[in-house]
Amino acid sequence: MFRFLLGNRRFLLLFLFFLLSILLLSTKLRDVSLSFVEKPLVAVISGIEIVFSSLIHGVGSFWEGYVDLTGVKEENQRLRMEIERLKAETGRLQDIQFTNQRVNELLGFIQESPLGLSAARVIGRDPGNWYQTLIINKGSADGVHEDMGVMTPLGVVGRVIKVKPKMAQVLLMVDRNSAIAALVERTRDEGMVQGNDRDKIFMKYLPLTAEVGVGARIMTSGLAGFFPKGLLIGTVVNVVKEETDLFKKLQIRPAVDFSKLEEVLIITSLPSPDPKELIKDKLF
Amino acid sequence: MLIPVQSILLEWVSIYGIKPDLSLWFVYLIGFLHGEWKGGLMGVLCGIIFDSFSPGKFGMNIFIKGLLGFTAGFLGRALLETKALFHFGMLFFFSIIQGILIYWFLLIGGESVIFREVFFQIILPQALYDCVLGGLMINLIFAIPQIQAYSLREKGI
Repeated sequence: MFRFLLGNRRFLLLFLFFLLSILLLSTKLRDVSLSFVEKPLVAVISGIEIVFSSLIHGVGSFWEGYVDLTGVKEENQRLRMEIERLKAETGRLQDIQFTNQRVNELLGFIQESPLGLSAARVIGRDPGNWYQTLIINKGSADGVHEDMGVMTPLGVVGRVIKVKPKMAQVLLMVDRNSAIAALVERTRDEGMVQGNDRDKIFMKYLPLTAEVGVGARIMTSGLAGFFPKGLLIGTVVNVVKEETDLFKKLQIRPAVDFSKLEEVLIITSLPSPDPKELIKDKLF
Repeated sequence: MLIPVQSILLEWVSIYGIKPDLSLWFVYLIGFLHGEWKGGLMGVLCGIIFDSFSPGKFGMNIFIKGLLGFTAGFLGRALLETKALFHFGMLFFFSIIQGILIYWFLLIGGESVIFREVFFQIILPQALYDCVLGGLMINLIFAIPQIQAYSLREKGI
């Protein structure tokens, strides 16, 4: 066999490698450290591995960073448009929710109130600066007439001054041409509430002896016919009295914010007067 | 479109409740470009629309805007060239005149109006607003070469 191996170099080499591997295996099994062989080998091979790995990683990053980005850019744009669409949809749904809430409150108020009420939407305001009016989307075709009172659950708004078939114009309480018969809730002193063209209203012709202070509530007295008795007009913010005045004047903050009106209630019919109240009025 | 824009959209740009008067700018522009009669006619038409949606006396704006449109037309024919500040000044003047005429009409109609109050609360603020915004817009329109050429053609030049 040895002669065969010595004569045949290939088989000799093969035999030597076979022997070496058995030797190495046997040293491993016996826990003999061969670190003097492994360490330099691992160092060299791992160095080569690091170089190859960096190269491949670099190529991969280049691919992801540039070549593959065209797809990412389009998807980004599509997602942005979807976000904008969803934002607009959310806004619209929120608006519907608030409108629903307001309409439900109005409906509840209409059902509980003894007054004949008709809800209308505010569709515009006076085109000029000389009058304070609203345009609503109900008119004579819906049973609206001139001089009908207009209110919200919060209080008095004004009265109808012009009517067309499908729309009407409402003169606001703050207009200088508006005048509403009113009384102080606590003391029952009567007077007249008039506007001054901006957001202020004044109660005039109160007796000088009237004991009214800031915070007092002013209600409709029901004398003029547009409004029933007891609707809130506003609260007193200032008592104006000069030496030469014959009457006391009150500055009132309206209960209704006219700049935020979207729906109003038109008083189509007033409640029938209580017969006992009528008799009391006749006797006293 | 004028009334919806004037009564709805301009609420958003009102300052202390004062809106600019778009119809005045429009009547002034048409009068200045096209002459007295077209300016006057446009003023009358705008006045009809205004009076229909306003609680004031019907005919008040018809007369006032018609008169202002006619005057603007007269000015447009009389003046060949105008400086940039001219339209600012004219719109201020026209707005003041309009305010004073409205005050007189209300007084004659029996409404209780105090001149000092309406002048400082309505007439002057509106005139300033009309002068600044309206003047800017009209100058921008007149800066368009086609508008300038059209204006010269209308004047017979």
